[in-house]
Amino acid sequence: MKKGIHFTIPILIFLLTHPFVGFTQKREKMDGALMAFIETPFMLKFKDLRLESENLALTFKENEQNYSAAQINRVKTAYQKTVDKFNTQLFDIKADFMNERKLQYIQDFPEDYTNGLTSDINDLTSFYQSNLQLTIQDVTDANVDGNSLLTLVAELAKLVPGMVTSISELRSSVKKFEETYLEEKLIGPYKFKSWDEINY
Amino acid sequence: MKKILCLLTILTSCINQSFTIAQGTASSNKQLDPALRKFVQSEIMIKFKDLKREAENSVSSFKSEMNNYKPDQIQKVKTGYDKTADRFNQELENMKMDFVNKKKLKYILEFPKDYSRSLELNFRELAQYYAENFQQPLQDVRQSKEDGGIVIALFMELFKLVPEVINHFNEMKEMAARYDDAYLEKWLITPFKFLTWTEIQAEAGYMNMNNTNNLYNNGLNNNPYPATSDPNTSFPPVANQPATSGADTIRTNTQNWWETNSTLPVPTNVDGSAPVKNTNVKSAPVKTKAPDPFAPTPVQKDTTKIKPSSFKVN
Repeated sequence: MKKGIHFTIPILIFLLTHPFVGFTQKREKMDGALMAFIETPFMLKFKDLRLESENLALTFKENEQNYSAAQINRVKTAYQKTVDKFNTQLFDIKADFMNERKLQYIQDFPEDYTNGLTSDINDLTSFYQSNLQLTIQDVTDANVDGNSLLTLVAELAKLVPGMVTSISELRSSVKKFEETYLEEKLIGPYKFKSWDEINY
Repeated sequence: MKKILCLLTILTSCINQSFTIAQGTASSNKQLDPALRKFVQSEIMIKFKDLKREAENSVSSFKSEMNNYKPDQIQKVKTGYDKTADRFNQELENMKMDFVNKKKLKYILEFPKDYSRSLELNFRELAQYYAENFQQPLQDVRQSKEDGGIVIALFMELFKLVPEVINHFNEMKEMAARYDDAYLEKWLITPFKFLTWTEIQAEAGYMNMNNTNNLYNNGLNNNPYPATSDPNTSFPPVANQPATSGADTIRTNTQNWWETNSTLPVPTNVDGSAPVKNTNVKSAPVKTKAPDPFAPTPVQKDTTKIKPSSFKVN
């Protein structure tokens, strides 16, 4: 009886800890793969873009007293529409990371994915120009020109190929990512803040 | 014994080769299947053909007034056109590759948005390339202020039609397995391929470039670049002519000429030729007589068979 207990306890301990070992290993793999992706020039530029857009909104908010409620609302709407577009792009990337088949597709045909993403970024550039930039220039009589943000988003398109290479590489170690993990590591730090969230 | 083995090997390879040739001929002789017919007659392909015609017409009319220009000016337009035509033809080739690559076809149907966005970017780059490399030099040489409105409008419509391509891919997915290189060469490439400079005839009244007795080649206006299909022919250098191997010195606009804010430079190979997509499928150019995909559907039996059992009477 005693012998039986001697055998059972180590097995029980192993069974209890084994899933955690597996979980930790998986997490480490995801960390390594995502870290390489997050450090690509594309993602660094994306973060710069986020900070710059928030800075633009903040600069305008500082001088809100100079503008009518209608003008403030125009800028607010344009800002919100624009950042929603950028966030949609980020959510699309997240969805791709969670789709095993999509990651395989990116690895097999990186050129197509690069072109598609470049096309999306070009659309974002146009959208920013015709919405937020135009509105803020109009309302502030060009005191705030929004050109720094335009430069950043234009540069972003050029960085797509490197970013896609990074996705192809991470596919070798991770087949797909989990949603909660991506929410925490990708969406949280890179999501553009809403107008109301931007404050000193 | 060795000799017999050698002979056997040679014989086998000969049989294989003739079988391949026979297969190619047979496949290219196949009738145009309804799905591919629908695609080649689609709005997007009609627009593509219109673009081809516009470009070729521009060359044709330029050729008819070529006596008014210097050789280096002619060469500038010729190089620009050939580079542009090469780009468009490469896009057609890439499309053909996508048809014959089963893995790719599967992905296109699974992720249609990615493919259509990618195709859209390719067309936008083609538009930019056309404007910078052909339209601009042509305007410079002619000193004309034409804005190329028709071509711009065609491109704009082409961009809008890109998503429709996916529907055609979807319709063709079952038949695509039967498409081969020769078949697609005949029905998809040949009718839409941009002609080369030397293949384009001048408008009525102009004497053929290939005719050595024409006005262009007389002693008064000596053409150092006679139209020739011989790739080994080397041309003498012309004064003030930009080096073809170096950077393209043709004036380009910093911004796109239609409406986008694309900041990506149009990727070009060192020699100015179009980049080829990475694909595992190899193709050999097959010369076929241009068929007319716009011809009415033949009445004879179709490639798709409908089982009698599929009809149910309630």
